[in-house]
Amino acid sequence: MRRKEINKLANSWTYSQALLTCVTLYLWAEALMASATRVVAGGAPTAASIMMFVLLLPMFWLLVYRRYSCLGFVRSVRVAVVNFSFLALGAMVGVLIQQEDINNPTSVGDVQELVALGELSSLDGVTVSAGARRAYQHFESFREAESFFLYHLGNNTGFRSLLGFEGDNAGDEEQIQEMLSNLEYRLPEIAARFGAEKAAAIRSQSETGLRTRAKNGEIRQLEERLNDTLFSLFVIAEKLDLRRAYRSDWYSMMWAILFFGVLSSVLRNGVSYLRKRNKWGFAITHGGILLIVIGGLLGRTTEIRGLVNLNIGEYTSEFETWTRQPKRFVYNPTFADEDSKVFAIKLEDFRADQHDVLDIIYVTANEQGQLQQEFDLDQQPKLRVFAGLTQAYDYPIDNPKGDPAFKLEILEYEPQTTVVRDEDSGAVTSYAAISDATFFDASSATIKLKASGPDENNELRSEEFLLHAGGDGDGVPFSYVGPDGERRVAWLRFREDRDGGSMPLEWQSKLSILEYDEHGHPVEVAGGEVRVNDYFIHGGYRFFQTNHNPNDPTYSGIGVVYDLGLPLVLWGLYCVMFATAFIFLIMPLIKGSKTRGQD
Amino acid sequence: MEFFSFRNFLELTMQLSMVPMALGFALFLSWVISAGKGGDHKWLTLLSKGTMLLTGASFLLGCTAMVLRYIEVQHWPAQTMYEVIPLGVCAAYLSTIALYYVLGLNRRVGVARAFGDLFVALIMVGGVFTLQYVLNLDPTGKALPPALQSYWFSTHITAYMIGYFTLIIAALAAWLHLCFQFWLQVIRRQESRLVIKIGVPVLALIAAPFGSIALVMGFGVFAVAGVVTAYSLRGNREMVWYQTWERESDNFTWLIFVVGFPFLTSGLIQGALWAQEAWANYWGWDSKEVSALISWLFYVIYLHLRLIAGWRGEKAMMLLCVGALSIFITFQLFGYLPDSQKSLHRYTDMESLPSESMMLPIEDEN
Repeated sequence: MRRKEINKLANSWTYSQALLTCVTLYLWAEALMASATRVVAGGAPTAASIMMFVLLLPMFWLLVYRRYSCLGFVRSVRVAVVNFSFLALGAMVGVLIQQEDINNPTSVGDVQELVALGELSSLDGVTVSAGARRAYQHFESFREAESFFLYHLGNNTGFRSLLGFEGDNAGDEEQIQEMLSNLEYRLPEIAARFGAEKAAAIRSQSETGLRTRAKNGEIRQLEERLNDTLFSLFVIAEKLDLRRAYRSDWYSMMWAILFFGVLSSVLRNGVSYLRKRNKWGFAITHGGILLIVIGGLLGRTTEIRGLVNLNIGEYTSEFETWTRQPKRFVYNPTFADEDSKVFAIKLEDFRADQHDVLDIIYVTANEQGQLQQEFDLDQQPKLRVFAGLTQAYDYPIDNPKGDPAFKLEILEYEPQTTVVRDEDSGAVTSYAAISDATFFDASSATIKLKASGPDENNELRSEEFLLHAGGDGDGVPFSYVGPDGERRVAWLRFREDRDGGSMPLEWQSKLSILEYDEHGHPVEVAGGEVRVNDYFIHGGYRFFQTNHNPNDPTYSGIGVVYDLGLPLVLWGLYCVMFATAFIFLIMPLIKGSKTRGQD
Repeated sequence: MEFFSFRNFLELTMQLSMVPMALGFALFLSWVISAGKGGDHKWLTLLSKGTMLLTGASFLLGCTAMVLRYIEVQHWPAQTMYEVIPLGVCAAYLSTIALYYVLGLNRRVGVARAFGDLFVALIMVGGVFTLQYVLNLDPTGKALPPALQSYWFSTHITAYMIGYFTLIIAALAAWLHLCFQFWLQVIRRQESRLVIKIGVPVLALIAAPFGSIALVMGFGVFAVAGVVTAYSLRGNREMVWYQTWERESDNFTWLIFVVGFPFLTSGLIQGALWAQEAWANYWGWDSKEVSALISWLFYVIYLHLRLIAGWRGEKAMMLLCVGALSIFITFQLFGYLPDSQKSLHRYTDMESLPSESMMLPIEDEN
C-alpha cells in the first residue's frame, strides 16, 4: 500500500514542479553550508546559528512528517531528468567559467578588496595585500581564458563585427596570402626532398601559425575592451561559487538527489526483481552509480594528495600536500593516532630515458668550404628509430609519386649497448648489447644504418654505418646524386632527443620503504618501481611518478595519494561499463540468437 | 610519396568513398523518380546492395591506412587529429555496416530501399568531407609522451570513436527524418508540432557556422530534403519511398543509439580508469572530462526520457540531434573553451599550438 502511495506521489510530479523544487534545494544547500561555515569559523555565531536552525527546521519537518512525499520526490523520473539536466548544466558552467586552481584558492575577502579599489586594468603602482594581488592574478587568467573563448565564438561563427573587429579574418589578409603563396612556391622542392608529409606539415603549421598570430593580437585587444565586464563576471562567479562549480554545495546537492533517486529506484520494488535475469543489467548499472557516489564522497572526506621531492639516495618520512602542508607517512592515516607507525620512502634510483632519433640534414659547402644546412627549415626532419625502419627521400620534382633517389634503412637497433671505436677516426667499429641491463643503466643505443643512393654513373651505391647515440651522438655524411643530376650530401646524425620541448620516452623511479627499528635506524621493508601509468602501493598510499627535471638527472618527483573511496569507485566504474554493454549489446544478441533458433 | 603510406591510403580511401556516395545518391534519385511506377527493380536492388559492398571496401582501405600509420609512428595511431579523425571515419564505416544489418536495411526490397541508400550516401558524404579536411591537417607523427604509453590508449580512444561516430549517425538518421517531416507538413499545409516547425530550421541554422561539413549536413540536407519532398508530392502524389522509414524511424534511431551508447559509456569510464593509473586521480574535473560527461549525461537523459517518461518520435529524435552537437563540441571545439587552456587532454590539439619559428622561411623570403 505504502509502495503504491509513494509511486503515485512520484508520478504526480510535473517538470515545472520538479524544476522549482530542485532549484530550491540547491539554494537551500548553498545557504545552509554558508551559515554552517560561519558558525564553525565563529565570525557571527548567533546570527549564523539562528539562520542554520531556520534552514534545517523545514527539512526536518519534511523528513519526519512528509517522508512519503520526500520518497516520492526522489523516486520521480521527472525529478531525475530535471536533476540530470542541472548536473549537465552545472558541468557546462564549470567548462564555460574558468575554474579556480584547487591548490591556490582565492578568498572572498581578497576579491572584495579588489572590488573596493574600483575598475582596474592593472595593479601596477597600487598597494594591496598579497591575497588581493593573488586574486588579481586569478582575474587576469580568467580574463584571458574568457576572452579567448568569446573571441573564437564570435570569430568562428561569422560574428566578428559583434566583437568590434572589421574584415572577414584576423590580421592583414593580403600579407598572409602573399606569405602563403611564397611558401607554396617553395613547397614542391620540400615535398620532393623530404616527402609529401613534410611539405603538408609545413603548409599546415605555417598557415595555422600565421593566423594564430593575427588572432592572438585581436584577443589581446578584446581582453582590454572587455576588462570591466569580465571583472564584473569574475566577481559574480566568485560570489556564486561558479569558479568552484564542482566543489560547490549546490553541485553536491545535485549529486545527493541523484544518489537518493538511484537508491530509491533500485529498491523501488524490494529486491525480489533480481530473480529476473533481464533486470540484472539495471541493478548492476544503478548499483555501480551508487558505489561511485559513495566512493567519491569517501574520497572527498579522506583524500590526501601531495608530493615528495627526492634525489637519488635520499629518504624522507614527510611529504608536502598540494596545499603545502607537511604530513608524515603513517599507516592508514584516516584511522591513525599519535602512536601510529611511521615509515619513510627512499629514492634508490631514477632515470629519464630519451627517444633515440636520427637527424637527416641536407648540407652544402659555402664559399669558405664550411658545411651549412641546405634548407633553413625550422625543424630539420628527425626520425624516431626502430629496427626495420625504412624511409625514402628525394623524389623527382615533377613526379612526386616516382622512385625516390635516397633511401635509409635501420638494419639493427639495440637500446642499451657498449661500443668499440676506431682510435684514429673515432668511428664505431663494433658494439655489444648489454644483455642484463635494467632500465636504470644509462647506456645508450647503437644502430646499424644503411644508406643508399645513385652515384655519378647512376649506379646504386649503398653504405652501412654503426652509429652510437651516447654524448652528442654520432654523425656521418652520405653523398649521392639526386634525380636532377646534382650531387647531394645528407648529414645523418644519431642521438638522444634532448631538444627543448621534447618529452622523454619514459621515466622511472626505484623506491624502497623504510621503517624505523627500536634504535631509530631505518630498515628496508618493501620496495618497488614506479613509472607513469604504473604506481606502487604501500600503507594505503599510492606512489606515482609525477615530475622530473632535465637539469637535475638525479631528481624525481613522486606523487602521493591516499584515497579510501577508490576501491568503491573502481568497482562502480566497472559495474556501469560492463552492465551497459550487457544491457544494450550482449542481451539483444542473446535474444536475437534465441529468436533465430526458434525460427 | 610511397605507395604503402598512410597518406596515400587516406587519399585512396577518400576516393573510393566517393563511389558508394555517388551510387547511393543516384540510386536514391532513381527510387524517387520510379516510385509508384511499378516495374521490376531487380537491378536497382542489386546495385543498392553494391553500395554496402563498396562501403565495406572503403572501410578495409581505411583500416589498411591505420595499420600503415601504426607502422610509421610505432604506436596506436590516435595521438593527433590527423590520426584520430581517420580512426573515427573507419569507426563510422564499421558502424554503417553493422547498422545496415541491425536495422534490417539489407532485407528491404524495391522502393523501401530508397531511404537506406540516401542514408548510406550521406554517411559517405561525411566520410569524404572529413577525410578531405584531414588531408589538410599537420601530418607530423609525434612520439607518445609517457602518460599516453598505456594499454588504455588504444581501447579508450577507439571506444570513443565508435561511440561518437555511431551517435552522430543516429543524429543524421533523426535529422533526415525531421527534415522530411518538416517539408511534408509545410507542403501539405498540415498542422505541425512546434518541435518540427521551429526546431528543424533552428537546428539547421545552429549547425551552419560549425564548418563546411556541418553546413552540408545541416542546411544542405535540409534544403535537398525540401526539393525532393516537393518533387515527390507533385500533383498530390504520395511519398511512397518514405513510408517505411516514416513508420519505423523512431525505432531505427533508437537502435542506432543502442549500438553507440555502450561505446560512449565505455570510452568515458576507460578514461577514468586510465587517469587513475596515470595521474592517480580517476576524475580531475578536467574540462575535456567534463565535456565528455556532459555528452554522456545528455544521452542518459534521452535514455530515461524514452524508456521511462515515454518520449517517442520527433521529440526524442530532436534530442539525438542536440546530442550530436554536444559530441562535436567535445571532440572538435573543446580547445576553444575557456577552461580548456589548462587541460591535461591537449595532446591531440595541434592547431592551437602555433609554431612561430615555422614562419622563418616565409619571412626570409620577404
